[in-house]
Amino acid sequence: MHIPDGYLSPSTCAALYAAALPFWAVALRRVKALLATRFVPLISLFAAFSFVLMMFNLPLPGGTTGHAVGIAMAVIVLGPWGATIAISVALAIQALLFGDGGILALGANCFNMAVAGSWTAAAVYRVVSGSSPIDARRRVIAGGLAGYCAINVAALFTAFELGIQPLLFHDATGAALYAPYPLAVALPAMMLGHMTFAGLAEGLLTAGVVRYLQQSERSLLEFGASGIRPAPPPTVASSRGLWAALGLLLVLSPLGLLAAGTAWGEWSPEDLADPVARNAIAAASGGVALPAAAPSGLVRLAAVWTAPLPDYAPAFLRSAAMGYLISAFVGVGLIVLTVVALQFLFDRTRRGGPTAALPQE
Amino acid sequence: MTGSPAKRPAAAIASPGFRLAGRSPIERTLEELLRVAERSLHAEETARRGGLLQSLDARAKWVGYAGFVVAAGLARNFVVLAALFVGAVALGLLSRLRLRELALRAWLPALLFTALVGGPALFLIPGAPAAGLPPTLGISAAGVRSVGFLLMRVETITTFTLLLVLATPWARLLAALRALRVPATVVVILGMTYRFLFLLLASAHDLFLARRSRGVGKLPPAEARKLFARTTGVLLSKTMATSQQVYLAMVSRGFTGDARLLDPLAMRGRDGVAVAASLGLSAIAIWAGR
Repeated sequence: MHIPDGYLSPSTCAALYAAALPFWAVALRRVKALLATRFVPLISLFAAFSFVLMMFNLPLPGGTTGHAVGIAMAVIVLGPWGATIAISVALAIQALLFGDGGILALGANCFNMAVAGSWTAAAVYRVVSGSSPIDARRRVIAGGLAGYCAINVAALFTAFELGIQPLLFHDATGAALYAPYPLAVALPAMMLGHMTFAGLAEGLLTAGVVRYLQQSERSLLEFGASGIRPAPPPTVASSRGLWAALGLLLVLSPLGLLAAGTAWGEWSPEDLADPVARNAIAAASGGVALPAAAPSGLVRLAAVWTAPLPDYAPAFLRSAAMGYLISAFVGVGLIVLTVVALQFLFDRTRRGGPTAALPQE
Repeated sequence: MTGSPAKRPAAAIASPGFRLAGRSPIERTLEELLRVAERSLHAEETARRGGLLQSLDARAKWVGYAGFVVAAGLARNFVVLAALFVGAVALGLLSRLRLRELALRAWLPALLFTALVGGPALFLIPGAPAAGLPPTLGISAAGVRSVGFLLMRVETITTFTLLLVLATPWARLLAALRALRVPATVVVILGMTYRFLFLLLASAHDLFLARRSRGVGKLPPAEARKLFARTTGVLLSKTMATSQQVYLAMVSRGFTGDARLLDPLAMRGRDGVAVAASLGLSAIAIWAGR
């Protein structure tokens, strides 16, 4: 799970640092605002706890042992934002001090486990536990499932990042420069171990700890019971920078037209029939020859759905740049509407029960 | 808060000669906890040796490290990767690090892990048979090149990382992070985490050792799982209680939530030379390794 340096290209590492950075920034701000002066010792101690937890050899059914990461445990006690920071700090100490996981690859490891893992755990725990009482058996199951899903989603991201390396980075002879296995190998190889042993370890330990806390330390499971109140939802003013950046990106979206060719794997039946496009596809696929005709399944399924704005170019517009711009506005508008609708639905279902969204000290 | 109270338990649990026989999950956990503490203490010892890297400012080492690691990450030429590896070994020797230390902490683990992960690629990657090997083995030239690149790259970067960690005290490593614009709060958290890591390691060790000393034979797996869950829960409770105590101690000493760091680091002439040399060599390696 901890990707060492050398398995990912520097550009992949940079991209995943960039992907993790906004989560770190928001998490630091939110948790600091929520916990004020308690923030530093609480996160530090919990990061140390996560680190120590990774040393435990949990016995598993079948006679083997597995390590837990403690993602779901951190989420249940600290909330997803707090867990993002605590797990990231534990991973940084592991990389810096013990060489477990790379420093170049720290962004990737943090994104996989601290970000994707934490938010998966939060979502699963929230959905499965619902509004059940703190001592309900359902919360034990929710904790176990949250741990199991968190570690598997983190593994899925890891496998994907490793699996795209040979496709993107190889030398003139076709030899992989970084992780050598394509997705077809990396995905099953990674997921098999995590869907069985590692996932089981994480799930069993999280469920066991939730059960223990229900019996002995209920306060750690009672969100908001010790004076910490949920942070107010971001206002228009507090998210002004985000909206400004989004607006800028929208305006710049026609720059996408500068990119030549078709994205790899996004070919239409027309592309597969066009000789020029076929040559470009073969060149981008390491010289692998294409079948003489477009696969029948692809032709059949491509006709199932016709997009309202195909290729980001509405039929009623002549300017490609304007088409891109309008497509960007429509897309962003739909996403915002969907999120608002989901938030509305979520707020309605959440009323009356505690959630895993916020930590307790 | 000083580092000494937190380090005392670590020193106690890492006392020489203390080894556990047997391989039950509890004992394996105890061994891992011991190994972590021993490694940390060893790093503090090597960082005090009077070698080349130890004499440099931590910021200069971070910059040089970043340059070399990026160069090793970008290299598409095996000879350049090998040259960087040899350079890293030479730096280690000039920093009074023993080859055995590098082999045990970096090369061997990286070799074993890469062999385990990358080994099957020798057979799975299609292509012409590798020259000099019987075709019946099914090892392709592309497979050999892929695994060779991976192994050489991992070994090189791991060696550079180990040099940085073994030649720099943890406190200075963190202080230098401020120069890289890492927020002070993050640096303070990293420092506190490291400090309390030993306290929790000692706590976890005591919990498992107490349980082990009160039992005969191996626990059934289901019982062992319950024990691990309870121990983790107890450790979690201790963590939260300690966090509260530390918070109160910090407040009583005037902590207001602002993190300020003392920064005694000072760049000297030799540090400037080291930065220039490492960046220059890295640039050459990046150019040659395209």
